[in-house]
Amino acid sequence: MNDNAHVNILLVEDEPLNTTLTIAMLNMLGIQRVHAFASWKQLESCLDDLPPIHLALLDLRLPGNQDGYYILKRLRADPRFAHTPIAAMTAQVMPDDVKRAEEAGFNGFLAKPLNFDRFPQNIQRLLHGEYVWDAF
Amino acid sequence: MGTRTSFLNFIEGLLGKRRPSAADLARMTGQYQPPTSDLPISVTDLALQLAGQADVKLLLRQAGEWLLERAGVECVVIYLHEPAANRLAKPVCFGVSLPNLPEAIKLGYSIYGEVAMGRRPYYIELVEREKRLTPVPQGTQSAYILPLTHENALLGVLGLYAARPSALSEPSRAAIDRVAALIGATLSTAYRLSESQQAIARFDSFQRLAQDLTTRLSSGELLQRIVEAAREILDAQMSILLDVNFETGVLRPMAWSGIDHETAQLIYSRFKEDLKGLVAWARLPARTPDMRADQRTSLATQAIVAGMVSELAVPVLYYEELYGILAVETDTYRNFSDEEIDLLQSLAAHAGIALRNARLFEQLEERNAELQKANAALEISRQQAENARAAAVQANRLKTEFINNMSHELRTPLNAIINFTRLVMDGHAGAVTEQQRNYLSFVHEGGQHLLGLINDILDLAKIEAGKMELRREPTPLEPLLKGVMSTLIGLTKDKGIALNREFDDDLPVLNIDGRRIRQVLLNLISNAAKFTAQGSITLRATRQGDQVIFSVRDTGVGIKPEDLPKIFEEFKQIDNALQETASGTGLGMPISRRFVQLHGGDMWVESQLGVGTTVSFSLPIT
Repeated sequence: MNDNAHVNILLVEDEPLNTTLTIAMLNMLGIQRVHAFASWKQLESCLDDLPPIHLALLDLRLPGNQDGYYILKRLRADPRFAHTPIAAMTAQVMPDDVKRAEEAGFNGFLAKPLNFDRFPQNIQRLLHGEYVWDAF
Repeated sequence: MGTRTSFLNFIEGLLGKRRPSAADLARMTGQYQPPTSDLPISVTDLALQLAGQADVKLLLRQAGEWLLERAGVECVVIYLHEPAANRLAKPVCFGVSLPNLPEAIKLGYSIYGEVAMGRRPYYIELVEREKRLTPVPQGTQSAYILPLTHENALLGVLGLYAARPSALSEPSRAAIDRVAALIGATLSTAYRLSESQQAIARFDSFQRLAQDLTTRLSSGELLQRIVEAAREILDAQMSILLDVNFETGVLRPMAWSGIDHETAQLIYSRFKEDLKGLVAWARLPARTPDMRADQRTSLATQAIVAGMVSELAVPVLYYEELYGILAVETDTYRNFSDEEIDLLQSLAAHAGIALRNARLFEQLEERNAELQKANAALEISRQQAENARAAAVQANRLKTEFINNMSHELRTPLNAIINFTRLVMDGHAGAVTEQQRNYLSFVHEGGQHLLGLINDILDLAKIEAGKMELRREPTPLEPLLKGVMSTLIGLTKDKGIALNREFDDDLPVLNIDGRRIRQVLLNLISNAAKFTAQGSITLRATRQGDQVIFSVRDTGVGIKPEDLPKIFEEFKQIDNALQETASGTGLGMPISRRFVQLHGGDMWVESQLGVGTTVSFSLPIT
């Protein structure tokens, strides 16, 4: 838990209720540094000011063309994010969606509603660089 | 070629009836030398005039006028012999005209007929004493009626009427006899010449027809050419081709020549009914010199009305198959020869080919039409199917889109509901009272139920869209079954129900999607728990041949026989006597069975009302 105090998590989520929930659930794990943005536009303007990120959690369905896949691509293009674990966190859970996320290069897939019991270990595993596919 | 050869044979037969004598050849070449004589009349110049004359009319005129001039008679009458009709006919008269001459005289009747019959001349010194001789030109004293013959064949009868008896004195009559012999010989030659000319004309017609037959003509045109050729070649007034209909036995006109359309339509026949019908029935040619006197044609009144006298009819065959008959008819009395039958038959053979082709073409057209109809129908149903398929695809796409959207839109608030509830319940938002925790657990359960419903609907949609993919991997059954068993224990802990497990010791490792099969088993045990108040629930897994049979047996309320088929219907729920309100989505069983079927197995239910239910499914060992 002590380790988690220094963990920096990037969250992109357009639904404020989900943002609040995710932060609260991360707080359960002792994670206090959650950098939350509602869109790529917001994130892009602050990108240079961000500390080193240990894990990025991206909602997939976002307004406009700049969805989770787009953000993944932009982040991967940035050397600082080349090897950062980036997980999709989405309510789009059809097999095609899961496959697409896998192919796009996400390190994990957390289906919404998030599984409250499995959430802590999923986050820990992602932080340790494991692939986590909790798509059900 | 065959036709041509047989036709040449025919000509040969026609001309070769008698080998031409040297005298004949001389006559035909105009070098006839009559025997010299001291009689009052020399016939040498007449012989020279008549030599090579093939035109009978002209021949008779020349002979008649010569006789008027040289024999000193007032009137010359010549009748021609018609052997087929056994009569004298077509009289010609030179000099004083005799308008009342009978058109035809039967052999043996009247003086001309007697002379013809007896082949002997008859000299009447005083016509007034021979009352039977009539008509007689005014002022006639004597008459000499004598036969025109050549080599025993009767060709006609010559009559001479004189006002001066000396004109027909004995020496004159002797000379006249020689003139008659000359006329007879020349007539005979003329007949032969015209026969051979006719033969040549027939041959030409045949050749033209043969050319027509090799060109690309329609069957109708071809048949028309054939009847025209038949009429032309056989020198008939009309020809007709009748088509036979075997179903009705009626012969109907297909093509004709020499008569108009209305008349042709009147000519029809039936099998065996008249000459034409008999020809069709017997498949043999038939001829009649006089239809009016022939019993076989007594019903062919139409032809008689049209003024026809003689008829020749032959069957139109293609190999053994009868297609109709071909007939020619003449308005004069005529005995058709065997050669003419052969001629008409070879024409009929061509007609047979034409008719057969026509019929084949008709059948082909019919089949084509049927095929086109079938094709059109097929195309319509193909389009309908295509439209239906497109509509179904569209509907399916819309449904899938709708379900995806609905799923997404429901999951987002459920994420907040379920997890915020857990956060509060678990004390992450401060202390919670027991009652608060209890109430919050209801919210949580409600959320979970809703999520289960969404997942079920999504599963069903995935299965229906063919997008349900199994994540198969080698799965040991023991841990899977134990996990299910422990869930069952949790479900029935307050009920006092006995739980039994009957697992084979050597259960194989199956290549299955363990998560889905677990979902199936959980569904079955939760149903069993739901419907059982007392007794036992047994979870069983046994190997049977190349499959493993899983079953969940309970001693619950059971299912009415009429409800059994509804078990696997979507959104159908069976009444539960144990619960006042229905619970569950009504999708569990249909989805479970689909999952089993996706694995290549099957699921079935046995139940007795009030005794219990056993739900079983099989999974193949691969």
